[in-house]
Amino acid sequence: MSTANSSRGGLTRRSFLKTAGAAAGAVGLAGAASMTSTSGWLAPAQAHAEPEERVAYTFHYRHCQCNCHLKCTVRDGRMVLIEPNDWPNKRNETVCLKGISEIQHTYSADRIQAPLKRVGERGKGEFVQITWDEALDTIADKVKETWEKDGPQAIAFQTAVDSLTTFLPKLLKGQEKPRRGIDIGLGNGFSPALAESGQQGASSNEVTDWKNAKTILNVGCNMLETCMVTSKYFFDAKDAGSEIITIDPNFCTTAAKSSRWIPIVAGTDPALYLGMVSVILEKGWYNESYLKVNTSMPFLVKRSDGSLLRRDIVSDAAQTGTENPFMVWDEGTESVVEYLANGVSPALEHEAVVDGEAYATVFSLLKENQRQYTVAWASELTGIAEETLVELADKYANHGPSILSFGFGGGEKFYNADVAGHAAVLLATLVGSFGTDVPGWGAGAYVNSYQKIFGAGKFASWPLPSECKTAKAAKGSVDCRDDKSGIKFLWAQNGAFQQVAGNQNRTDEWARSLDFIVVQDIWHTPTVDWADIVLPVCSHFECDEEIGFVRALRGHVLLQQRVLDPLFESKTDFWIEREMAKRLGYGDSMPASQEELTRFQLENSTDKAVAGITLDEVVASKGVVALRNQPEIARSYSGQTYKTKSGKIDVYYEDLVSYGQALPTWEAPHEAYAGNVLRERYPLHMTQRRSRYFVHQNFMDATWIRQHYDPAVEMNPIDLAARGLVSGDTVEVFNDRGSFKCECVATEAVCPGMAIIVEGVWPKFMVEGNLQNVTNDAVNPRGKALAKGRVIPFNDTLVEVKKA
Amino acid sequence: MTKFGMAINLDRCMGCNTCAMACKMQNNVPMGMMWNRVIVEGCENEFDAQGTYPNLARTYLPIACQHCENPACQRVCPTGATYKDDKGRVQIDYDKCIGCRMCMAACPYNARVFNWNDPVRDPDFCYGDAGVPVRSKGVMEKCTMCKERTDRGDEPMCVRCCPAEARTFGDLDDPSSEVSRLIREKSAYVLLPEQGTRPQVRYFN
Amino acid sequence: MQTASPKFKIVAGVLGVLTAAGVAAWIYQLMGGLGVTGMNNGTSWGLYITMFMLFVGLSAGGLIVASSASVFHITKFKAVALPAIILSTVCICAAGMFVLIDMGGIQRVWRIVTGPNPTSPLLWDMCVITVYLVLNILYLLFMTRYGVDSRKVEVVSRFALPAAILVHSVTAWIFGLQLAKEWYSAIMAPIFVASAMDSGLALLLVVLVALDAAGWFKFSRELMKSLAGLLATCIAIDAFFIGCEVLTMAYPGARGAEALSIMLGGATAPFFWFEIVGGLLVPFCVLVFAKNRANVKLVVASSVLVVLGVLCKRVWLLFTSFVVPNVYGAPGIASGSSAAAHATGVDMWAATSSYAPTWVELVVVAGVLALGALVFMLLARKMLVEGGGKKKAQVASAVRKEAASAAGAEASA
Repeated sequence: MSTANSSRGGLTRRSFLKTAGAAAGAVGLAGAASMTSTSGWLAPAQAHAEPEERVAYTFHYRHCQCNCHLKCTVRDGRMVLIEPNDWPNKRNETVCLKGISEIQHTYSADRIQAPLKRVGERGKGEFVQITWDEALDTIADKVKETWEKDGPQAIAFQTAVDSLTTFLPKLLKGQEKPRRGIDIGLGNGFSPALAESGQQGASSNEVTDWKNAKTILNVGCNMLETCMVTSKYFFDAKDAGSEIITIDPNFCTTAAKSSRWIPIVAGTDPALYLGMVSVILEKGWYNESYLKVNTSMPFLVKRSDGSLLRRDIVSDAAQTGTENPFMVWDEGTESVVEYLANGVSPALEHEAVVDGEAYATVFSLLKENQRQYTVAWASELTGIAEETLVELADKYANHGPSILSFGFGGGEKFYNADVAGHAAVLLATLVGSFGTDVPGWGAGAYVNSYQKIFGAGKFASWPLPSECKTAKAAKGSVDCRDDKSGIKFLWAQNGAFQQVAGNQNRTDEWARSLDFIVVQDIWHTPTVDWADIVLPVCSHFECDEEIGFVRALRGHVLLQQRVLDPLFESKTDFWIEREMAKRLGYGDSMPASQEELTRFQLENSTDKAVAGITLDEVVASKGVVALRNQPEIARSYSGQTYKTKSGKIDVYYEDLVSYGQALPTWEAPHEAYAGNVLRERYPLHMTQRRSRYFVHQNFMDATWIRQHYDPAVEMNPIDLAARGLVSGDTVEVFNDRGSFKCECVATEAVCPGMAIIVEGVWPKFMVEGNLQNVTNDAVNPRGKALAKGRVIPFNDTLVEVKKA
Repeated sequence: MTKFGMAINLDRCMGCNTCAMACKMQNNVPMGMMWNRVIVEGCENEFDAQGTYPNLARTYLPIACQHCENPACQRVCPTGATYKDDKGRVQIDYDKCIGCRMCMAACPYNARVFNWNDPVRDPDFCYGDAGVPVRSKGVMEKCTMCKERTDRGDEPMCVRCCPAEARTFGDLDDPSSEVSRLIREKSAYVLLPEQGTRPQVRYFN
Repeated sequence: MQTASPKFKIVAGVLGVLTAAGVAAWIYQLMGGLGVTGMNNGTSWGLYITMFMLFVGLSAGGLIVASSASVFHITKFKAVALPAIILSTVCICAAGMFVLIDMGGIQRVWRIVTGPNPTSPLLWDMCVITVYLVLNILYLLFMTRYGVDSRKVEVVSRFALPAAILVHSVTAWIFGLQLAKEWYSAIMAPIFVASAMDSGLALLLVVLVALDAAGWFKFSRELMKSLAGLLATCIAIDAFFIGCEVLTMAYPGARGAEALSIMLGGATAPFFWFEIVGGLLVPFCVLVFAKNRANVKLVVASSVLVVLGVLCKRVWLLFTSFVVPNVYGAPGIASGSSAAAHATGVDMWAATSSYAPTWVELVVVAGVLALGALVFMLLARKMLVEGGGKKKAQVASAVRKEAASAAGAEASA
């Protein structure tokens, strides 16, 4: 008898409907009780007189970027202990409170226990339990209907980082994560200069390299809460004598643990970088030879239209520098020559007239452009004293090796994020951060590259029929909710609904307008309430076969093995996609089991890092095997190799000339800028922050964690007092877009004039409403010219707070 | 003789509470109770800091039983339920505890938690190490320095799980142990030295 | 054998019902655990321990008066020795009950006998309370069986007086030896003795007046005046000790001053100020005048105030120390209470601790008080009223004899 079958015994229709109902929080415990009662799914385990213990290994959710691999003890069929697994290198043996809380969270009262069908109005969360066959058949019929009526691109798939879905978006042939707008803001500006592959601003070296740096500028990245397993490298760097300077509006945990904290006005990161650039240019603290040899700084730009001078007329925008070289002024021959010509000594600063057109080098234009960004100007905007800015620039340029670090919060979620990213890469380039292979130099988002960019292996991908491929997002659409997106059918995972867009009321309205919504989730996240059909998924600890999913991240092959049988009626992501494939006519194209897929992925991989690693070896090594030939500390752009068109660091963005952003040019935030008249009504700047307790919306329902955190809007005591509020009062946070209610709490750690809240809180844990009700979803028109589209300016939000 | 102790690097403590959760799991600590906790010193809520914006400081302080050499709790226990074991750890014999809470009043660190009720567990089964005794209502409990683990030669779960590697466990009677070296070289100090309890859990910066 | 008056029956009936309710509440507490009380990991002792402290003290007055009569040959006190000892016995039993009720694991209480830890003040207290109880019972026996055996009474009283002093001191040491708390003070034992003297004496006065009013026992106005005078002295001593303690806390402006600020203006301030004004100042100012000491109403009112004042003192003394943990910070202490176990959010924590008794504690305390009153009534009726007929004469003659011999002794000296 399979566990899935036995689980039905413990789940009456009545108790289940209660669980799914509005009062889920209160009566959900009844469901949890039933699942652990002796008459329930645990009945077989009771037969053993002596407690039976076994150990199994799996990986944890990885949206925090951490990829912990866990050793789990199971006693009498129940998971009782979670500890770090043994890795080849002890430094990787990590877990945090979230991993440990899975002891409870896996059995959460908020687990979805069976497939559900909506009975009430969409969004109300009223469901009845249905069979898996009914759920999957209904969905398959709807998929086929949509294919026929509106075409496959009318299906959108909101994949979650923490789902183990592999094939489904391709099987549905829909758009995957259309116009996502998250975690790409800084990357949009940072990555093109280096042709960084992920386009998310991944750092040029590992966080393990921090210990080799002398000066570390950590701008708006609360890594000690978001990606806690990197903490040991943070502290190792401090112990090794690195000065870690965190620049953040608020005294976050990382700021508190840094060598020094410098407060900044939120949303003015571009001004900080531009001010520092000005200091470095003015004082001559830039690395002149580095700029000449390794960057596009000597390239000549036509003054009249901002285009880069090439040998030939540009016929194709994708032409590389070898095909059609960029031109520089050679100081030796005093002539315009191809930038890669032998013996060329390119002038960094030069003005030239060629064929009657005035040209200047990128560097000259930069100097001109920077004239407006004086230290005084930057100081005024950022709130950082002029002498501090000069000191920062001095330390950064002259007391290297230096690191410039940012993350995916803070300045990332502003309207002007790409400008900040662009200015950051410019600043890092000026001091010669990239490609030198000198330990301790680097820049970018360190939490991202910790697991994803470095130490990632490529598996063989299981071949699907050629027609199985995802659709491109509609051209005119900038936001999946706009009328040009053409989306009729949405398949969402893991709380995506609340996470992927600002201005929740607009998202809700959009959801009401869609033909069909499927939500595939482990827990009853806020997204689930919007579903027509809900599919309950296993946690990462559950599997219906011994071998589960495999990853090659964080320098290792990491295997999911069965710790528990699927709880309730939940199924694995793999089982769901296999069943969908069968119903869509691709049943024969799918691997028969996860083990078959995993074996295929591993054993047919052409990646040298994975070569020769077999599934049997991974199983024998408790699910963790080091990738082959991994460096002690990985660094990108080794030997000054860049996949940019010119092969150099290209800080001049020719494609953004029409937006005035070929070189980073200050742009204020959309809403949260000083002097905005909107501040008269909404004087507080609201930003969302990450917390050590959650990974976005995940773990919100974990009771072990909830005993540590109650949702509250954090404000400076001055601002609370001005509104007659004290800690613990229920407040309404509102603006023209909407409102939500929760407690307020006074903390000196929050900058006066700001209101902070932990992101991802489920509305049911708020007093009322969704915190995304107020967030900004304005679209920057420049977004469509950027690699990853427009950024959602969640943090670019003004609100007012009053007693509720 | 063995005298187990611990040294905690407060510079590395970022208040993540992993130690607290690890302890809760390992020792089957029920809801509403903690053997190990992390406080933000001198603050009313954990978001807060000491000082006034922007002149701020924040100290995270993990606290559990300090396994004192001169344990106030052991002194006042009428039945000898609280005792110092052969490895220098302060332990509780739950069968001897009469629930008078003398020890609770005596402990300067508020390290002890009492089973005011039948334990409430979520999930509602006994998790943690199989060897950890189940405590009923009416008895006192606290950090055992993971007796079951340390008896086997493992380090306590809080040490094992600390992401920042802030904790070092070992034998204080062995001058060459890492924990002894850290205490010596870092001039590790004790909490509330005026209490004269001589904790075997030391802190350093 | 006299039959009980209807009034007696009604009062006894009411007390019986209250006792039964108290027992029921206690059984409820045994089933649910101490979580049914308002206690928690921050404030780990509550109303029971407050009442324990109070009743140990209340029991003192009787025994000290009775035994001083013998030890110091204060002849006039001998007249009230019997009701005083009955009162003392009942009070110490009530105190013992409160300790046992407060225990979380009463089913394991025998462990104290099989494995006593000699350094525990609680162990000392249990021993000394037992001795004290035995002395009380012996005292009673020697005063009632086979007539008053004044030689044995004298012997017992020589032990009873130091035992009474010790029982309060040891109770004080349960608190006063705890370095971790503000209780840590050498003056704790003298304070406990002083408040035992004044509260015990005050209760004795009230009870004697009541017995007199009920016609069970003749309580002379002269003796009342004299005891009230003694009470005034005890109040003054008590006030002096408290003054010493408060000054010592306040003067360095350190941690003690923080605790003092809680007493002066914080959570325990109402209790502190009631004690200072209502429990010390007012009764002293009343009783310091000889004229007032002859006024039954004023004496009773002052005595009631003194008892209530000492109750308040137990409250502020006990709870002030629990409010702020030694190592203060968010989120504080895992409070561990029933509510905390079921808390869905951060309510399981308490940065500073608070306490309020629950209905269970109030009913249990009411039950113990009722039982104490009931037992006192029954014993008093049996020993003072029923036994009175045949023994009164004996007692009176014994007193006369002793008075005579004492007078002789004084004369010869």
